Amino acid sequence: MSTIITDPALLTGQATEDAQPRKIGQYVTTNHIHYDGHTGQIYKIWLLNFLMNIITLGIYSFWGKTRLRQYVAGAFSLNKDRFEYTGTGKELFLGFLKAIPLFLVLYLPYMVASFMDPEAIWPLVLLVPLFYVFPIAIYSALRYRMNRTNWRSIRFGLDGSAIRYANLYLWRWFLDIVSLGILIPYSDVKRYRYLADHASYGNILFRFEGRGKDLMFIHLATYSVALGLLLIAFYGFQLIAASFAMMQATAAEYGLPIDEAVFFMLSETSLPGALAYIMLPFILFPLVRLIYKTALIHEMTNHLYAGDIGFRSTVTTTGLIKLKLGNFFILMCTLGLGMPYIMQRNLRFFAQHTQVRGDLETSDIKQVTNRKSSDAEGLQAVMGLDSGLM
Amino acid sequence: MSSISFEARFFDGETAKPHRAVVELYRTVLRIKTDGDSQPKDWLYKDIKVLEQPVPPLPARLTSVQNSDMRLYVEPEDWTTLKTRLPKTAFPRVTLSTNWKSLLGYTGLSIAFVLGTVFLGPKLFEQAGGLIPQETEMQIGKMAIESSIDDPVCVAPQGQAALEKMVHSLKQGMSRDIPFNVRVISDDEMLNALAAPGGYLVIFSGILKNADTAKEVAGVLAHEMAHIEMNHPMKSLMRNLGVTLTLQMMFGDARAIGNAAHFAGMMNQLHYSREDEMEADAIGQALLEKANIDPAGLSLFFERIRQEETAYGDHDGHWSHFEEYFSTHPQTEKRINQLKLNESGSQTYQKVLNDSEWQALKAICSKQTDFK
Repeated sequence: MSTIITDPALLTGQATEDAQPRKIGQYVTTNHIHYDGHTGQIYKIWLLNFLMNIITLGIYSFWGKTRLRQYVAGAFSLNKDRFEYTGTGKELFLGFLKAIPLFLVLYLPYMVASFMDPEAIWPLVLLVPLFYVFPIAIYSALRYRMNRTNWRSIRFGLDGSAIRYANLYLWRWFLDIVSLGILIPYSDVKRYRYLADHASYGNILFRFEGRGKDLMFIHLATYSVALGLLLIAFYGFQLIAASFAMMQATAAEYGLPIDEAVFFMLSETSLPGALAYIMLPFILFPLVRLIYKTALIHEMTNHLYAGDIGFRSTVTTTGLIKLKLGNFFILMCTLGLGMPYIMQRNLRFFAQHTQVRGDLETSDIKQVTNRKSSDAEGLQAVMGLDSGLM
Repeated sequence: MSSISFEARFFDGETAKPHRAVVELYRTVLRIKTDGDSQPKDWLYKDIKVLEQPVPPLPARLTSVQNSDMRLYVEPEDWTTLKTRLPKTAFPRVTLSTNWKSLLGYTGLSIAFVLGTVFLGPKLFEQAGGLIPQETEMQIGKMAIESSIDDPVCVAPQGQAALEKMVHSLKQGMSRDIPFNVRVISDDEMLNALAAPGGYLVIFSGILKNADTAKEVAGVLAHEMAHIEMNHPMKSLMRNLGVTLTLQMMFGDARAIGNAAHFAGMMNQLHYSREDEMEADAIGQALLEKANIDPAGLSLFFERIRQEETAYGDHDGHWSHFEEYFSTHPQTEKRINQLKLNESGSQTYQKVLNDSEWQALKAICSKQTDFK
């Protein structure tokens, strides 16, 4: 389980002379990612940020976010060396200030138009540029984060163009809609490929060799189950409509006041059953799709390479379901106060199920100094895209 | 010649290769000798930055401003010797402490802040509402009215003339010249009137339908005009804006800045405070007095609606017109009593409108057009 054979000669069974002296290279070491962040410390930082955001009207969020990221990055280690986040709150804040004018310029036409004609729907067209900014913001933020993260003094990087990524992102989004969701795996893979193929660690370039085709079967299988669930929900909606009609008719006939009419609807019509018809798909659909999500994680991880270093994911669908269901219930039961714990669960899960395969010690990794770097993730902050978790 | 030395882990910032290094401490400089490298690296103490203090068993993490990619990892036991040689500037600036005691302090501080802002913030905004120029106010008022009314407007010319005559007489008693713009909106179910910034007055036809005499309408009108004279609509809008903005900024994030744009969306929720209503009642009555119109009109109107509603009975679970009106105009009993207290009663007053004008006003909705 912990070994993969990389020498093509060994795979084909033709032991050549060349293969002899490279015995050690045949077996690839598995490096586990460790995460040892303390829930208590995460909680304290989160709480401090929450309180300081109140006191400073949100201005502190940039420094708070930075502190949390520093802690989380430092809690991850690979081969006993810790990751490091070097971004600063000041950078984030300045990036935010820079992004405000751009955001206003894009938002202003819509604002003016909807003031002029509050009833009209057409001004929504003016919001289209904002859709374009959305993926640009995601990409630039990721670039910033990677630039400010290092391991063993070597920085990560993300080249490529945020605009190209946005074009790809929106084009795939369009195709997803036009194909009624059938092409989703191709879109997932293509978007990820753009990111992965432009990512780097020092002079080592990442590359992604996964294919959408690999995911098609699982996607279509879970997707058709989802469609079936949709039909059930649709039936439920029809039942509800019928219950309402029946209630209205009865209320009109007997002149029932509103509370009695509602009581009638709950007790005498098929409304409660109908609610179950609707609830069931809403619960089952995300769970079924986690099967696809697992396959996607495997595809994204197992076909990612950085030079001669590979990656492997050990995520299982049941593991993912447990994680997500647990998160959901924690969130519900704690009314959001369990957020740091959810974060902790996610980080642990990631560390536990991700392996780095290859010889990290002898790989010749060099720093690259003139790499594209972004100011900060200002756009993301202005648009409120960042979930504030990491 | 070096007095103290220890082993440490070193990354040169050029390759990912970890180096075993010997660190020698001199008077002003720290020398790093790595196994492979013949050229030792000297870090001036004043150039050193401590990225992280050691949390045993984890080492301290250091860099130098000369090359901020380099990293030196110093074990906790060696850290104590090195630490004393570093200037204050080497250490990270004090970050907010996360121990439970200070967290408790921040909790208290933020609760105080929230309470302070919730009470003071809207007040400040309210004050700022008085500084907005008339022209801007009129634009805001226009938007407010346009965005909150869907029903057609009543435009029979004689009725409109009678209405404007009424406004004109009431206006005489006002201290400042406000360009009033008065409209009747066709909605017989709606027993309400409203005032928007910039002198916009709206009366719903339900009031005309339910009023027996012109002085009742004059009473309602005077009340709304008093709101405008006292700048209540603008203050109320600004107060709403203040509450929304501060809450959003506190619990959301910096996005709230963009939300100031949704100013117009809040226009529909013009709510006045109890004090504002009482003030408008009193000033409205004064306006009526100054115009030589019977100030009993308003209380008369209130009472009639109340009586009618009780007689009609609201046992069928319907939301009564009376309640509807007073959901936006609270404290009825108290207000009626207060109004009556100010009515002298004995005096004889001028008729607001003559009979034909009153009939024309009641029939104003015989001609209607779209509001916009």
